[in-house]
Amino acid sequence: MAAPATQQIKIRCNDEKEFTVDRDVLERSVLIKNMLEDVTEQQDAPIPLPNVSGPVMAKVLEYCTHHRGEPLPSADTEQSQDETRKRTTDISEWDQKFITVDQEMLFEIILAANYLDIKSLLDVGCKTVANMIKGKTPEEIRKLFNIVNDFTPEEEAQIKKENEWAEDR
Amino acid sequence: MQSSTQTLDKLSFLPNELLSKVLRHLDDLDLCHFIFTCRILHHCALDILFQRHCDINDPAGAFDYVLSIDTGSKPPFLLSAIHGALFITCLGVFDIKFSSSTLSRLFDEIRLITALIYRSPRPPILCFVDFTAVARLKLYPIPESQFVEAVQSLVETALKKGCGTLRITEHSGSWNLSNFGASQSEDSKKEGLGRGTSAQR
Repeated sequence: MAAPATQQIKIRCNDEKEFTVDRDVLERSVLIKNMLEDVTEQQDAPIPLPNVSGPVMAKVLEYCTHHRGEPLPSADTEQSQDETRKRTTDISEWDQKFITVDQEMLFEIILAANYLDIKSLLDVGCKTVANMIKGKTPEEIRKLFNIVNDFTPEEEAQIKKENEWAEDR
Repeated sequence: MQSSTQTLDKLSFLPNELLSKVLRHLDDLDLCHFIFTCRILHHCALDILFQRHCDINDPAGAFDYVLSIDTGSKPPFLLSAIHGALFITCLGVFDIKFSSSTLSRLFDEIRLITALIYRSPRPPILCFVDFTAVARLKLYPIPESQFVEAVQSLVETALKKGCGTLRITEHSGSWNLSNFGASQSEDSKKEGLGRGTSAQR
């Protein structure tokens, strides 16, 4: 069913917060796009998104609105992109500004992008985390993310041992 | 960028596939740092290093996987990665080419590979151990007793694990492989001192 681009869709987040959004903006999310394609009859009830909270959805919608109209990456291009630029971490200027949020929000965005299946946003999120990690020592990484070192002293010694001989290569 | 209040560790609580997506953007050295952070990240980082550098394939289609390791051409921490990945994949065939650049490294690598085989969740079906590249590095003379001991332990471990066929190849004539014990078969192949040994279960 071909719907006009101006069609408005209502969504409801897990904190009861509702958004009314242009269909083409929402369709940046492959999850919602598929949902909308499955629904044949007119529906007034908002689409429930139990895994996303209002503040996070607002952020996601900001991203989707900015990028509306851009071609969606297909599964194939995603695959080949993964191969060729898997280790590049450049993010466009707008995206960089957009993703400058606290860690909590950053991870929420990543989870939401994954759930909603918005590949480009997920990519931006993952790259941002990778950039935070780059060039840091294990101790700095732990500190940055509040990672608890759960190795026993024996295990740690073992790992060190297995790796240290290799360091003078 | 980081919130001042104490946040929970969000990174290691990411679902595995998302964590991999993040770590895939890192280069080997940064991944190496992850090995030391915590258990979850340890395994995830090893897994990615493994996928990046280890060739798991099965050209003949006869086995689940063939693990090909060329110790010389891989980044230093790779052996650790293999170690971690062994718990994830079940390997049927080990194809190990030693091309260590120093003597002490060669011993370390032999020991580590021995440990890998020992800890492998499934007995290897075939085990090819290739020392020919080492010979080219002019490491001779190698203290024979030391070397014999190291290789013997490798051979015994593989056989004890129930390895079906073990073949050790090295530069012809330099090392006396008859010293390496462990159920030698009389009709072992002579070319390049290759040797077939049958497991006795």
